[in-house]
Amino acid sequence: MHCPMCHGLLNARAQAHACQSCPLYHLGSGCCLQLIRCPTCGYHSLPGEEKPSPQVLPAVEPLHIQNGTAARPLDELEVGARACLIGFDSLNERDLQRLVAYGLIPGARLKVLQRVPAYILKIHETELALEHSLVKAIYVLSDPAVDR
Amino acid sequence: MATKWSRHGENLKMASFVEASEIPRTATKTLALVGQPNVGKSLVFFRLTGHYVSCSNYPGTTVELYRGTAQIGGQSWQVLDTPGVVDLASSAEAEQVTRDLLLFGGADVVIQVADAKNLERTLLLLVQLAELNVPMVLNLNLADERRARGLDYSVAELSRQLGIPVVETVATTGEGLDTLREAVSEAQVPRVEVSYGPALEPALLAMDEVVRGRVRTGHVIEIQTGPSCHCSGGVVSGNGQGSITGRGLPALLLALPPENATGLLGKLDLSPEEQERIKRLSADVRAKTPRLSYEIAVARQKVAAKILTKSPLRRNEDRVRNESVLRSRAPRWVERLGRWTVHPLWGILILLGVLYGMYQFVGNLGAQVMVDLLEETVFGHYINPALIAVTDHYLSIPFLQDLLVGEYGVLTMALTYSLALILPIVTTFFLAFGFLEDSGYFPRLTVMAHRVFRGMGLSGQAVLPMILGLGCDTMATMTTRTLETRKERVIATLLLALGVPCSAQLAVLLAMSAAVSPWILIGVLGSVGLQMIIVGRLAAHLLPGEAAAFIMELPPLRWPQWRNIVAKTRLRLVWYITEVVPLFVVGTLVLFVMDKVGTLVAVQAAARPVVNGLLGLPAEAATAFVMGFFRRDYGAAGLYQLQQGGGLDAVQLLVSMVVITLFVPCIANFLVIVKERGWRTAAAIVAFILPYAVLVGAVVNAVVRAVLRG
Repeated sequence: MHCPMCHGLLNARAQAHACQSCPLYHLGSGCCLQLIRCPTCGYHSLPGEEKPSPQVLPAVEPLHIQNGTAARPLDELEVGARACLIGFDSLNERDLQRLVAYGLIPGARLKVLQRVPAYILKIHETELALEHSLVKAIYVLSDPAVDR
Repeated sequence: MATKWSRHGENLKMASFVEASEIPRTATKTLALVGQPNVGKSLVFFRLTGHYVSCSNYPGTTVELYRGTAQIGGQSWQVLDTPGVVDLASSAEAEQVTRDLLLFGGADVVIQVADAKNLERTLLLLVQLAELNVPMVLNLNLADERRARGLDYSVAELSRQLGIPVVETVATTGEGLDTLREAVSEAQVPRVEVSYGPALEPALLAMDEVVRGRVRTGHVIEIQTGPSCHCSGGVVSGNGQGSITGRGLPALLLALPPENATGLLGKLDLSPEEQERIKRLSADVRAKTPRLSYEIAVARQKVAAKILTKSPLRRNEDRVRNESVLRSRAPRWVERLGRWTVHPLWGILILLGVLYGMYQFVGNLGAQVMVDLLEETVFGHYINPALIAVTDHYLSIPFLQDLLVGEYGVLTMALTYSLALILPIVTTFFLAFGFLEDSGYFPRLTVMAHRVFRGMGLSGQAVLPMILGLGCDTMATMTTRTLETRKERVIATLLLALGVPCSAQLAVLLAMSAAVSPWILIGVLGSVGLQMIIVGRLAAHLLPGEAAAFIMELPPLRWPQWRNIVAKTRLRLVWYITEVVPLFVVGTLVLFVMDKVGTLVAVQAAARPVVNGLLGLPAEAATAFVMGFFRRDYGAAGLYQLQQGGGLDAVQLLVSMVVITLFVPCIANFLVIVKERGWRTAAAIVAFILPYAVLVGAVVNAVVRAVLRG
């Protein structure tokens, strides 16, 4: 495999390297994009990418994640907490698709309105009731700075 | 009977659709309204066409499709209101109808009606629609709610970016509707391009080559609501140019669950080899890309997010202050009430309050005051004596006299039951139900109930069919197909048939208990609820499979518009009179024949050991149970008569109400169960319910009598 930018050789270590700074890396669910970072030029590419893609990274507002900040399952958050969604763990495709349709997507900002008898999240003026099994598979960074 | 019940189920959903198609078509172009649920789509439709449409989804929840005509720019347009969709690539039925309509309906222009305060989700759907290559107008409705929240953005900038007209409206007041009408002629295909990444792009391209141009517009839209409902007469065939090209269709084929994708393929104009090729292509992609539909959704979301970063939704604090002084709609206390309805403690208290309010309104006002007036005074003193006098005078044959005005007379029994007893009760019930429906309370109720339902093997989504069951079990049984797994559908069907009383029956129950003591009602609901939990739990253990996870959008609580409620109640009463009253007449005729032949006495005698011995009820109650086969409320009305004649004491009342509630479903409901779940499941359900209802009645009888004695 070669880097699409500089044509340098890529290997498995290059992939692991790209993921080190990603908070999802430590979840065991793997990287959502499976980016490979070229050790020579530093370009992040997707596996199988042949030409440099103009838009590889999510177009959502960039996250400023400090090193060592770990993602938490959403069900650990208190009522009233705000958070930024960064990924999902062990959800089936159907449930994922339904969540995405409601705007629950990496980068989305949300607020916990209630925890019992069901979780209620506020996301872009939509109130969404979810059961616990879904909430605990949603990983977030608590995000006190965001005020929406 | 078959034609009867099929109409019975569809009439409100389909009638307007099919009948409207018989109106000579003067409309030359078709305009479709598409949008997420709860964005006020139907009100926009109403404002455009001037014809009333049911604003929420009962009955049949998802498959209502309304059509009207509108004069736009000096031209006559055919306007379609589609069911609310969350994501076009979903296995749910509402999405399927809308999808088919967009692909095969040949709409010339699509207006996407959206929530102005929720641009992100609006754009997610817009990207999907844009890929279908139809000229569009974006209508941002609920602008008043956006302003009340102090959210701000530039409509002009959004319009420039998307390359389509964007119009803000407040459908409740009519603000912006003229601008929307003008915008229709300027509709454009949105300038939106999604990049699905190197894994998907080649497959999409290859699939596009196969399916391009293979969409025949005017294709029969199969809305599977009942047998014989292909609405071929009502095919929505505008003169669209069959312009569905681009990536919308291949992307749908990839994102849909395989069985739905196959269904969609079948509707395209493809040879078997081409279908195979598409299937192979999508299987390849599926193997390479785990979470395929998610990846597609994320790719679209990136585009939506990119548009949003250029015309973001901002909170304008000055505005918030100004508007909060001005705003009259959705006042703060309604918002707070919305919070409380889902609170673990207050939510339950509010639920009890709502039930008490319905008890007062339906049980007292409807069943006591209005029934007294109609049954005793109008029918008892004027109509029935007059009918009897007229019949006696003109018909000298005793048999015919009996048939019309005897004990089981078509006029005296069927009409008195349906018009004097049940009609006032269902009228008040429909009014109360419509109020709750339009207020947005029901989705909040699912939050309170989903744990209980979880235990019964059902997800929170099943709460809605159950609540609809309180309107009519037959229609609710049809809506169970919106549930995601077969297990849930079977359990929901069983519980609807077993324990959920329909509106008319519930209303009679309310009336009967209101005459004695509210404790009777609590006793009935308690025992029936307990049975539902026990049976549901058992079924959840016995049946294989799993329930889908609970996701439910909670629309803001809104103060309902009386005009809507009244219009909806009127539609439902028309349904009641045209569909239910004839069934009462048929039931009465059967009773009359049974009475004449002597079967009725035989049935009463045969049932005596059970009815009298086990249940401790008078033998005449057996007649009411026979009547319950026709319609449950008919049976309940029989008990009501018995009670008014002083034939039932408090315990007998409780026992008979429990039994008639648990008792076998009415004919219409049974036929729908057969259709939806098949003969074997239907037979199994009835074979279980009949002895079980009697058993529970016997236990309640024994326990209550023992407690009273001790």
